[in-house]
Order: sequence, then structure tokens, then C-alpha cells
Amino acid sequence: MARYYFDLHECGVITRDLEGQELVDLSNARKVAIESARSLMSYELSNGMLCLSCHIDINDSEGRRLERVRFNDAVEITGLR
Amino acid sequence: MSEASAEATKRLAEKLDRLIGLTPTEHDAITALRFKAEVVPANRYLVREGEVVSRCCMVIDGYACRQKIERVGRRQIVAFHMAGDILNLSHILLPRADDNLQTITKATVGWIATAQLLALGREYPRIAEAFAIDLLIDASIFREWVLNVGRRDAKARVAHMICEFIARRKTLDTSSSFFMTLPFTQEQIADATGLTAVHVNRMLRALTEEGAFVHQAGVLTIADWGKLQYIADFKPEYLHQAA
Repeated sequence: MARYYFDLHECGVITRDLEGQELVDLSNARKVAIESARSLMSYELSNGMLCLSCHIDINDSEGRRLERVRFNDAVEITGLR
Repeated sequence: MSEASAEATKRLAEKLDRLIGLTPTEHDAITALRFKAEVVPANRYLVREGEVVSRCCMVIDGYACRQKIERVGRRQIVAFHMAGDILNLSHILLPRADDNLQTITKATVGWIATAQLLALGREYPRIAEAFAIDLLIDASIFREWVLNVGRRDAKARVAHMICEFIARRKTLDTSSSFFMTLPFTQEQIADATGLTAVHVNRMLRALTEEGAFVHQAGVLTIADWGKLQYIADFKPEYLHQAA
């Protein structure tokens, strides 16, 4: 188990995660980030907006970035012209 | 008699007195009860779904919750409990647990046989009535939570959960006014509101930016209680005497 921190980046505005979550490994942390990105996008959509350029950075307890999950990569988009 | 057991009977008497106004005899019958105290770490199970339960569990200090878990393991917290609450009065009459009881923080709990509370209720019908009122208030809170997770948007859900916590805490300690230590992690708030922890963090920031409160290092300072209640769509009447 390790503690992972999920910083949310929304078009330059950052919501820092000061608490983190205890998770098995990075692959698990990636799942959490994807689920979070989808949940945030659903909320935006319910308000009639969607920004796909936001992302969530997964950091370790020393603040090192381990991975970046882009909203764009968390969904499969069809129907765009 | 252990100090914790005395604290348990004192809390229970206070609560039932608030619900029905206890007579001295009823008060004495409650203070004569003996609870078996136990200090339990955070996130520990007290009762698991499916178990046949023979003891009621009261929170003496700290916080606990009732929760259910769906097939893939995601948890939905369905109620929070604090000092003075018996988590599972329903097990007096329906002993098979239909949900899980778990601590939120490190907690001191007091155990007492369901049979003893059943006997108490039979001997003192007004105490049985108070237990029934307590369960009816729990049911009212559940209905409000269904509305919260089913219909309110993410920000209102988080705000509502915090409003309820504050309103219920205030009945325990009226002097703590609007400086509150929020005992929940973002993950726990997420599990109570059907959101993710990242989303909760974002909503806490939104509420702070809107001036409803300041959230720093776990200490919740209400900047604008009226605004927080408005955002939350919080109307405390559903808490009845619990607020």
C-alpha cells in the first residue's frame, strides 16, 4: 500500500489533494483517477458544459508526479463532426 | 462501574430526555444500565451485514457510520452516528444485520445486550416510545439522504452532509458554535455522497470560493452559515429532536 495524491488541473486552476488515498499500487491509482475524471465530467455535463483538456496528476507523498490522466483519455468520444 | 459505561448511560439519558422528557424513575432505570466499553480504531467493523446480532452498540466518543457495499466493493455510507447514538436499536427487534456498522474515527463504544434493552422497553413503555421516536428520526434522515444522493447536485450534496453534521453536533456541544473539526476524510464524504474523493475536494474548494466556509487542516470554520444552508437546500426540520 502507498498513499497517492490526486491533483486536479482545470484549465490552469489547480485543486491540490492534501489528503491522498491509501491504495494498492499505481495501476489502482490510475483507476481512481479515471473514475474521478469521469465523475467530474458527468457533473459538468449535467450543467451543460464539458472541458476535455483538464487532467488529474497522480503524485506520490513527496510531490513527484507519477502519472497524468487526461480527461480526453478517460472517455471514448463518438459522434463529433 | 467503568467511567465509559457511566458516560454511556449519561449520554443515553440525555438523548431520551430530549426525545420524551424522562421521569426520575425512567432516568434511574437508564443510569442503572451497564455498558461494556471498548476502544476501537478508525475504519473498524463493529457489525457485519448478515450477522445475527445480540448486542446494541452505542457511540460514547468519536464517530461511526452505517454502510452497505455493492457487488464490486464500492461503499455507500447511509448514516453517520455520534456520541449518544445507539447505532443499531433496530437489532432489538430485527436481529439479523441488514447493513454494516463501522467506525469513522477512533471511537469508544459501549455494548449492551439487546435483550436488556428489550426488557427495559417492556418495563418502561415510554422508554420504548423514545426508542421508536429515535428510529423514526433515523428513517427521516434516511429519506433525506435518498433525496441528497438521488437528486441534488454534487456541491449541494457535500454542503448538505456538512450542514447535517453541524446541526447534529450542535445538540451535543452548543458552545462549539461555528468552529468545527470535520472528522471525515474526503473518501468518507465521497462514500456518503456518492461522489469520488477528487470530486469532493473540488466541491469543498467551490464552497470555500463562494464564501460559505473556510476549510483548513480539518478545522471547518463557517464563514456564512445561511449561505451554506441555502446552497445545501438544508431544512433542519427532518432531523426533528436530533437537531
